[in-house]
Amino acid sequence: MLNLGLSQQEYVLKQPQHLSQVSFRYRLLAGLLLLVPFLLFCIALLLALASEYPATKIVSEVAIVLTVLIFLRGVLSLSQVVHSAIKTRRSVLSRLANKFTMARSPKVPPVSILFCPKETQQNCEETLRSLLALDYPEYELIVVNDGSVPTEKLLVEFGLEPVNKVFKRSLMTGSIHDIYASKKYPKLLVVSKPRSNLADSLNVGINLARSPLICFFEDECVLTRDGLSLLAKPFIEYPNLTVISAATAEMSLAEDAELFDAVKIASRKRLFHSSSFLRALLCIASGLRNSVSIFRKADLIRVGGFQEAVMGEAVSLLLRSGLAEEHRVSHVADVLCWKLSSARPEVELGQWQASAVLMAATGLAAARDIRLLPGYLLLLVECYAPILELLGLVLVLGGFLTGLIGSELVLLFFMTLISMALLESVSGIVADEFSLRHQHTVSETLLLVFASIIEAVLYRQVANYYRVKGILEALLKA
Amino acid sequence: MQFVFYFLIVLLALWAFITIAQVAYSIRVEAKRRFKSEVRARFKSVLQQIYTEAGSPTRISIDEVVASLERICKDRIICRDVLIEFTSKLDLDESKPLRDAYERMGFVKQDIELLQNGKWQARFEAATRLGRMRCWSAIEVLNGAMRDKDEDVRFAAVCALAEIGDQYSIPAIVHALTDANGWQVLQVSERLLAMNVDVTHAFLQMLTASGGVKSRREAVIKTVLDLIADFAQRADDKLNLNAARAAAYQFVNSEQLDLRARAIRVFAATGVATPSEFELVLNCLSDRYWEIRAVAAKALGQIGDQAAVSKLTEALRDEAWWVRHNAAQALARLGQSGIEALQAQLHGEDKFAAETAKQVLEELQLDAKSGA
Repeated sequence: MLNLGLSQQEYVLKQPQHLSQVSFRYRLLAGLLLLVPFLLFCIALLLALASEYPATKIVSEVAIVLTVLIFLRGVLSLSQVVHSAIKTRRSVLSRLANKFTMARSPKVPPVSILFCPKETQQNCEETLRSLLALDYPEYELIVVNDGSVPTEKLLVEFGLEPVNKVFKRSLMTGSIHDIYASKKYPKLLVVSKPRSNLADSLNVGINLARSPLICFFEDECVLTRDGLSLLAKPFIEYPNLTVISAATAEMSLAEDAELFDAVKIASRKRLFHSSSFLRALLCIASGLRNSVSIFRKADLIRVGGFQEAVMGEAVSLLLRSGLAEEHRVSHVADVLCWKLSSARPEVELGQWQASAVLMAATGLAAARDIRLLPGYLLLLVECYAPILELLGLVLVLGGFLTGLIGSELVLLFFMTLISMALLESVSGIVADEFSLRHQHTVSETLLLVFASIIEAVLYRQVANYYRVKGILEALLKA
Repeated sequence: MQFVFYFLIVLLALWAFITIAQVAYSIRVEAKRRFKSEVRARFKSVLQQIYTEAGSPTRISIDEVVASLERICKDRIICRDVLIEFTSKLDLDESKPLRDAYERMGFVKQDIELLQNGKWQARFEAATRLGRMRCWSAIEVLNGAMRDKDEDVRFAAVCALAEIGDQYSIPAIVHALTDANGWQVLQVSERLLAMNVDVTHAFLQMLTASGGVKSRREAVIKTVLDLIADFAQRADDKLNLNAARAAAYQFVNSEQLDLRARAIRVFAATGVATPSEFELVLNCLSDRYWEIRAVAAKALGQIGDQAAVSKLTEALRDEAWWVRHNAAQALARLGQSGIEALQAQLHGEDKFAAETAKQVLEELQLDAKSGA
């Protein structure tokens, strides 16, 4: 469809750049961003220790500074939780009150859903059936199977037959074996190909996709019936501006849930609401594995498709989609995707943190636009938060054991750390309930409240370790 | 230092308070949810009995519905929600007794008051309820709510008016849509389509209306032309196509690019009835602006008249690639003669035309092979 609002030049496709070059430049920038303040801090500490100033006083003052910073960071997080609760409630309320319809209209763009099952995938057929029953006027489901799921099983289950499908190879990919279609399920297309990495499978799917929008969907997830409609909504609202729309995959609290599951859910709720201002960017940047997202096919082809299909690629895509120009990156707050099984928390947390670092770096690169300045500061806080907490913990405990810090200061530090963590954790649960995203029963609430205490006191410290590890991985992986 | 400790203790107390409040809230919500489902189940069986005994919705006593609902539940909010739930499950005639009961129980009056004096959420929810219950008596207030300071309330009011189905509200709804985003326009046009009235008169009146700020008037005309194109494609029984074409005719030569493009899109959706209309669209292929030429090329493909082949072939050599692209696509839609024209360009002198024709022919080939 012709867009009269854009100049003709904007349709001209840019030459694809090599992703790793861009990633390396920004990783270097991120490293400097994080390392310079710490180098300055270490130099100041060494100078102070070399001077005549008593070591006890220096360590105590550093501990006080860290305590104040942790408190301020907690206040910032709580303000984001309040903002998130109010904003999310409004959008959920508006969606619940106004029953929406998705008619076959030129305003509703067709979507291709890409699904690459993993070896660990259970109930693949069930997932496919649920994806075929989505409430969306025009979509296709492309399953790229690299041998992870027995193709024969799918052939029988869905009445698939080999077809001679010709498609344009816009992206360079490995070979494929066969393409199957089903008369019974015309929306379904299954591609079998040799074993390869996820990026190659995704690129094969992008080549085959016939729709202008492509939905990336995690294998261990289930979309709600109106999930695709809600996810595509930003593209209908602002078709010329929206570049990405994403939503977080939610974990459900099953009846037989263990306490550790509840702790993970409490942690996710806190992270979701306390990153309110930057949620869209962080969720998308933290990778395909944490969310369900829709990209424009033209953008994906323009950047040369996926190379590793890991966290950071979406950042590069965002960057070259024109971060400094007018565009919209939307995050849908509604619950539209459920995770059937959760990834290991250390992986998720590491990815989240690494994405924060990369976003900070890429944001800094586009610093010409002053409007983004508060965003940088928030990102820096997000980057430094786990480092601050871990550093404070090591310093205070070390200082106490070596007799450099008094017990009063240790108590002050731990009370600040724990009280802010408890408040953040429980406010995440309250915000989720208030914003109408989830309505928990009394027993679930009690379990979550208990889990939030464990999350604040124990899990958070372990999580900080993995988040710092994520930062290092982001910086080192070039 | 002591002060800091006191402060931290206050923080911990705050945490304890929030935790207890959250648990208490959960208990309350769960109890309410359980009670509501009980009310729903009991009201359902009572309603079934009332409907069966009456035989027809017109013979149902409103007092009986009100009395049975009040007997089942004393909580007015739950009564109201249950009534709305059941109304939305029934068709317009079947739900009439429930809508009358809603009014008899004073909910309409209450909603109108909330819409005028409530906070944003109350106003928003009241507007939505009035729409769902198709309260004709609330049309005036809903018209006022379309000027509400809150965007959500304004949109809820627009949806409510469209849902009520009063054709005299169409101009106000279209005016409101001029500032709406794509999703909002889609939702409202769906409701307008469901109104079951001929919208021609309302649309045409808006196109011919004069006065007001020029930019605003143009925005309204754009929205109306968009809606006409949408209706022509999806519900041509609710629109007089000849009248729509006649209305679009006057804007094809407008000074405004947007208006001209939209008028051509109307012809693409409605088709052309006379040679002069076809000529008009065809002439747009020679417009000085590439945007208009591109829209015209696409429209000629949709109109499907073979007489456009030669002009579209010329458009393959247009300086703007989007025009070339649309012209090639249009030729492909025109059947054999169009495809022959494209094939003739493959070895022509014009490099651009050859490339565009090649691309479209390749796409056609791909589609044909895939189809086979």
